[in-house]
Amino acid sequence: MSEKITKLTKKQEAAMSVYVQKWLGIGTNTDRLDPDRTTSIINKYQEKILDEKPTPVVIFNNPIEAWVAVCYASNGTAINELKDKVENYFVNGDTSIDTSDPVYPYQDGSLYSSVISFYDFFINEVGIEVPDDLREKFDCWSDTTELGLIYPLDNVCIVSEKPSRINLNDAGEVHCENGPAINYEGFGDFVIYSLNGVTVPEWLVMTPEEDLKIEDYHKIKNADVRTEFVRKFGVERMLDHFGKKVDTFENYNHEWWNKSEYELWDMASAFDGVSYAPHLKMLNQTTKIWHVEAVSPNCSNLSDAIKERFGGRDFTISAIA
Amino acid sequence: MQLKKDLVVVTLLLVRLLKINVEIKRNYIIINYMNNTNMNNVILHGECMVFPSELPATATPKVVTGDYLIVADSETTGNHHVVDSFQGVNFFEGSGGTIFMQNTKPTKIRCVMADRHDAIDLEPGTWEFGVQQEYDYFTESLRAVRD
Repeated sequence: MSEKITKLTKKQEAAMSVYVQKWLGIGTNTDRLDPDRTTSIINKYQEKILDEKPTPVVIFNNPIEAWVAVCYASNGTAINELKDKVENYFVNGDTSIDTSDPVYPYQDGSLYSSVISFYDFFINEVGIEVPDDLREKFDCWSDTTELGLIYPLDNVCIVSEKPSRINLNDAGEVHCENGPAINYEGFGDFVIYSLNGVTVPEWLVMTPEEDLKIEDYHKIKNADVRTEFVRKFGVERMLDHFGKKVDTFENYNHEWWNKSEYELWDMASAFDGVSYAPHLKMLNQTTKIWHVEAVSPNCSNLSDAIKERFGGRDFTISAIA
Repeated sequence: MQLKKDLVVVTLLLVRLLKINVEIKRNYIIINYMNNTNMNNVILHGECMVFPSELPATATPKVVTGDYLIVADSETTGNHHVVDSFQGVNFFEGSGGTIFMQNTKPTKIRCVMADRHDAIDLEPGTWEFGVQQEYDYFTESLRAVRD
């Protein structure tokens, strides 16, 4: 039996970045699928892992097309008619099949690169012993990361192409400031808008920052999306244009209030029919990004605002991250 | 005969000393926890609050199947706030789904995406988890911060 290790060697730690780059490259690869190679990978996967007989493989442009094809195939449509049926579904509309409630695919293809990278590192760098038959299965599984999403059905396997474009920022996060960060080709307009790794609505990416309105900010329910709004809109612009400073950390002597640079701002001018709308401005201690979040009109100073944030409890902050 | 008696006495003494040692260590952990964790203190990990607490009598043990428990979930980004779980770290669920933790070993609260919030150590003790509140001017009501 192998000895349990509790620590990686310096050499193993140094090798990690090589694996990160290797698998980021596989996970974000946008090459079009080669039909012969795709069929070979799928047939081995069916045989070695699913313990099923090989079937024909049909490739579609994106996950939406692939799901519609799954619905047709499950409905008894002949394999050689699937492409035409899917095209007809999007071009002419077809209410004869139910495509609601999509099911997540059986195998994630390139989207599983992060998982496979873990095993790849530990098998090849740390020397985890894997029996030959399991190693063969792992290699088949690993090869599926060359493909898009995979739906193995009884008599056909539906495979989606990978995205045609994946845009990352310098930090390796999905990000694009002037269009979709992820695009797929084909029917269904499958695009994803993302800023700094946060999936955001199209309007937040496509609206020039000078045309963004504070009303839009209040439509956003998600804190991460709101942070991206504030980052694009500019916190100083947001508060200078619409706010009036009510209270500041400088009036107090609290270590973490100082570090977070807590301030209370009245944003009433951004709302109709509201005479006082206090908002708490604070600095994320890890990312150093500003956050602005609303507190109720009952808060006349920072003490009230922070107490309300804590559900009415009189807490002293001992650490923030 | 005397040697046998002496051996018994020494053995009993050793057992007693061992018990005292265990007791001292246990008390040390409790005193250390009380000294370092003012019951009014709160740790903020993003919108997640962690504070010293007492385990309600009605709380039930929570089974953790993986290496961590999600103590504040992220609906859209998947950047959950999690606490590492291992032997000596036990979770409980109180009324309304409130999560409590009793740990005899230090653990950490961290984010799935580590770059968003640094990890913070949680010393041995009893902890309660919550989520900070924000106000919605459209519904004119408070709600838990969502990310």
